[in-house]
Amino acid sequence: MENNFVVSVVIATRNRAESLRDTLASLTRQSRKPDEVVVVDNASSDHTRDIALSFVDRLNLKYVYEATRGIPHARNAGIQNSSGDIVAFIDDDCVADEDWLRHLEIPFVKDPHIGVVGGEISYFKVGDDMLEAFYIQNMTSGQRTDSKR
Amino acid sequence: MIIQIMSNLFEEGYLRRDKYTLLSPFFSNGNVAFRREALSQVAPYDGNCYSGEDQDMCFRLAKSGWELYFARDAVVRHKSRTTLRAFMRQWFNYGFHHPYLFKKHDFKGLRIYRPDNRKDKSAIYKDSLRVRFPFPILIFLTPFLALHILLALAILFAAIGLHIPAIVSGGFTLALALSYFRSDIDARNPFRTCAFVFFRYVVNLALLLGGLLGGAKRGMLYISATFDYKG
Repeated sequence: MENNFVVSVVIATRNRAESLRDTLASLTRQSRKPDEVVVVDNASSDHTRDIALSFVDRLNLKYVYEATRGIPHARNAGIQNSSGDIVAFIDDDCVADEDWLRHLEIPFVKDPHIGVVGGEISYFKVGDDMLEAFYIQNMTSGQRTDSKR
Repeated sequence: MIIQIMSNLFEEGYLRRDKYTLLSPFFSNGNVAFRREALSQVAPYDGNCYSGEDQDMCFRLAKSGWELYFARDAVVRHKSRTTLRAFMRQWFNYGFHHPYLFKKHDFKGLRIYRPDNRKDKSAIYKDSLRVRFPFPILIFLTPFLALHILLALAILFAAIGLHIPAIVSGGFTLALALSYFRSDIDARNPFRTCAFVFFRYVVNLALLLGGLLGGAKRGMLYISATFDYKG
């Protein structure tokens, strides 16, 4: 698609270094590469910083430390420290499908009145207990039951 | 994030901006993208929102005239890590923090919503009563709430010795319970059935209590919708 959008991806994170690694790894596999990735470390006490910085050779990554705890503060720091025309957010306990960013960007290109584009959040199993089965059955948004990967 | 109360989000396309309210579907900010031009008009995120900052942001963008678009093929996968305690706390917190948003956006009067059982499931609740009232009250007449009211009636009738009404209320309670928990009932797997019924009950109870307490803190009566929102 022809456009000149600069797309930033912001991840606000706190004390989930290992999970953040998976999120960042999924960003390296995007069909539409993020032009910039901003990791906002919201006062973590673990090795979040090391994990983030270990991706600087694969992503145009900026590490930002935000001392004031709380999601809104972290997201605001991400907005201020990113430069994209489009600012996408993904959480530190999520991984993105390969075409995630491409599909998020398309509507902005098609219609200048669109200010915000939301995507689908689905869940994947990490264990094998009943609570997890219940959680997945009830938390999956919409009617998407297929698991296209 | 706060519950998608009014509607399921599953069809690609524009959200109804002309009818956009605080109870409209919104995009969880775990998977969302903003045009910077739009963000700079409404930013920053509200630092007082402990949860629901995403709903607040979508609401403000819609009010400023920006379109909201759901791209269902932009998929992120969330780890389903949870413990029962974390699961309950999560929904307690959603309930507890929701009234902040209602007050912030000037919720007034008495409003009652009831389930909307339309086939396409494009809405889950409909506005069934909206009147002026000196005290803010928001009630979702969910089957979960009805279950408790009927049970309370049955106990009350039994306590004052009215046996026939007690049996009738008890019967309705049982019928409603069977209907409400039907998706959890698997006759071949009683252990799973009990576990799922238990999870559904305690998580909804946590949400309801969170809403009541959060509402009390903000000076309103708030009886939340349930988390199992598929209608």
